[in-house]
Amino acid sequence: MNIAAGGRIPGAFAAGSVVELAPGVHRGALFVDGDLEVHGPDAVLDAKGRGAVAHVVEDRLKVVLSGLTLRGGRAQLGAGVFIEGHSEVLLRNVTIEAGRATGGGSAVGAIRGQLTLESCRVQGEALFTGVSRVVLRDTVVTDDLLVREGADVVLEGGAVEGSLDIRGTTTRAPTVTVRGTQIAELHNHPQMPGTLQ
Amino acid sequence: MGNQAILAQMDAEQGATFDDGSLIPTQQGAEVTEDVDPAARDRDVKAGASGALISTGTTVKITTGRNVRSKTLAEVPDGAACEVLQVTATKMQVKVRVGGKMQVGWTYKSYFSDQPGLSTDDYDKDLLDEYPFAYFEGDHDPTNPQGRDTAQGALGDCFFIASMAAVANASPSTIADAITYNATDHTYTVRFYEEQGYYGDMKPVFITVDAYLPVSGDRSDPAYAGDPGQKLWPSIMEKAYAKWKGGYNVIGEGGTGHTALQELTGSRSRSKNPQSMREADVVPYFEKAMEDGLAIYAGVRNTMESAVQTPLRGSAQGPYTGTLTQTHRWNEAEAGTLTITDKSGNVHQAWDAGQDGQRKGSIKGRDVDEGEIEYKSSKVSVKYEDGRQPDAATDLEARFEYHGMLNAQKVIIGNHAYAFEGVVEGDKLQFYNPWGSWQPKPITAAEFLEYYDSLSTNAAPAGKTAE
Repeated sequence: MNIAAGGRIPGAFAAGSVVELAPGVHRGALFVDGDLEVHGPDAVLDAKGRGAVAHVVEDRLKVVLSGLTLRGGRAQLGAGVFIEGHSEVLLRNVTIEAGRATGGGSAVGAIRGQLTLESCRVQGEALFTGVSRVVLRDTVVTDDLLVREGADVVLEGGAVEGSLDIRGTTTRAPTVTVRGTQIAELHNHPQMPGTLQ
Repeated sequence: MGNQAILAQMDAEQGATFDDGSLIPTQQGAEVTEDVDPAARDRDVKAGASGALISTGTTVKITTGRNVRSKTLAEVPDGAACEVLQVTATKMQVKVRVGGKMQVGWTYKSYFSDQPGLSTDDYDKDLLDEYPFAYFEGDHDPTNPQGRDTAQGALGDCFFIASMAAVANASPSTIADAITYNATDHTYTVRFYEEQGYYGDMKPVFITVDAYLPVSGDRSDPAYAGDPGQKLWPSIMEKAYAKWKGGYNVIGEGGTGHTALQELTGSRSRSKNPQSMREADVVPYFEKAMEDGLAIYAGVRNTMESAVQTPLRGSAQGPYTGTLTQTHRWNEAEAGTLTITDKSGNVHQAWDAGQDGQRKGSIKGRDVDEGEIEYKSSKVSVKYEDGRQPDAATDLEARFEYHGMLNAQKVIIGNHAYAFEGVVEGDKLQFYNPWGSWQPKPITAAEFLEYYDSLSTNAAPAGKTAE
């Protein structure tokens, strides 16, 4: 499915859809409840404050977003991308601009799922919590990267230009693995630290 | 009987007692006096811990050093919150709030009571809230808890309070069953649920807390989650949640109702984006959710866009001055959102360059000489460069976003969470403000879609648990 720029995209696509967005600005937010691929390049998806730009709600999905800029999100958590379901989500060459998230993660957030960001640019706060499993490969986070609860985060290359802030609870600790990533600042909570390796 | 703050510092001879006549423990059952070396009552206090200084007096002495000749630094109220910096055999160095600033001094380890860390001042993140801990007696086993038992208090955890209220509305027994009073040591054990791994079950987690609560004013009311219904359970549940997550300060940073609901019930929450709903579907959606017994949590958007308005008056290069409309004492313009556009096209658009937390913002623009907006009063002034001016002041159109009270008639507060209560007046939605006050008026489906931007439901209590 090819969609020209300048209009509003559908709020949801049929399961298994492969969507090509033409270069330019597309209005709308993705409420992802089926397998989906959305590709650019050079396409901007602007939610205009109408929820997270891409919200993956269901379990057992495979979702791929590539060559996109996501902006204008507004959500409880994860204004640009929010992973709520136990699904596999791959973001490749995606720029996520900061939106507004009252519970944290102005750019991206996950409480479940397996999220991989490859060669992405996260221009806002990233918050990974709950039981999310996340890989950031050659990805730059220009703001803080918050790892909470029982999240498992692997950083390979790239950079965290804000603070890598790790905090568990009294019953569990997150895990962060760093391989060749530039970290501007590190905070591992003294009383409820995560496992940093 | 309502809650009565029973202060732990009551005279040791008289002895503050519980209903059953047993002595309120001031320190793990031990009584502490400043005249006695309390080494025998030392506990395992660790540097970095947060807690309170609880004695049998009305104050606790803080000294400049740990020796007997050390001078008195301050007398802090009994129950004062503290952070432990280092410990010795009998003493500990603590950071406590004295007046308007934090001070470091020494006191006995045995005064230390393990308590969740308090939240901090909005403008000084190192300054602990000035709320000492005091003992509360109340309903040991909540009977028929209701959403309207909750009141948020001075902590930014509306997401959790609204979630408690939503669960209580949908399934009172879930709340009642989650709290167990331990008569032997007068503590409460609260059950939450924690999701386990990938596709994991929701495993119960049990957190035990005492009934010392942060208090304000005359120490008769909890400073954080309170008791408009004269019930203790919201305060105990909030305290246990804070202890679990690492402190009141941690949950005061905010969170999501989606997660809090499932932590309360053990059942997976479901999200729905109100922006994806059609107006005609809104009321039936809520009716069905109520019929299914779901706990329903909804969040209001942060800001609203103003109408286009022309409040500025002036001539020539200006200054053009005026006061923005749609603002009042309960809301204000959001920093960095004001634009002033000249519809005659003579001058380029101007905008405010303010940021969150600032009282004023400069107005910038290619043709602007100087300008300013004062957010609280909504007063705006802009002066253009020589030779640049609009045809008329009424050509200057202002747009901005405002936060705070988004709708004063319907009492809808921005960036705030609510618990759904029911469909009223045939086709209107009634929500509960977890503040326990400023209750919203019933709203239409269209108003719901206009103001709310998040919605989570939870099938309490039929969760998938590993219990």
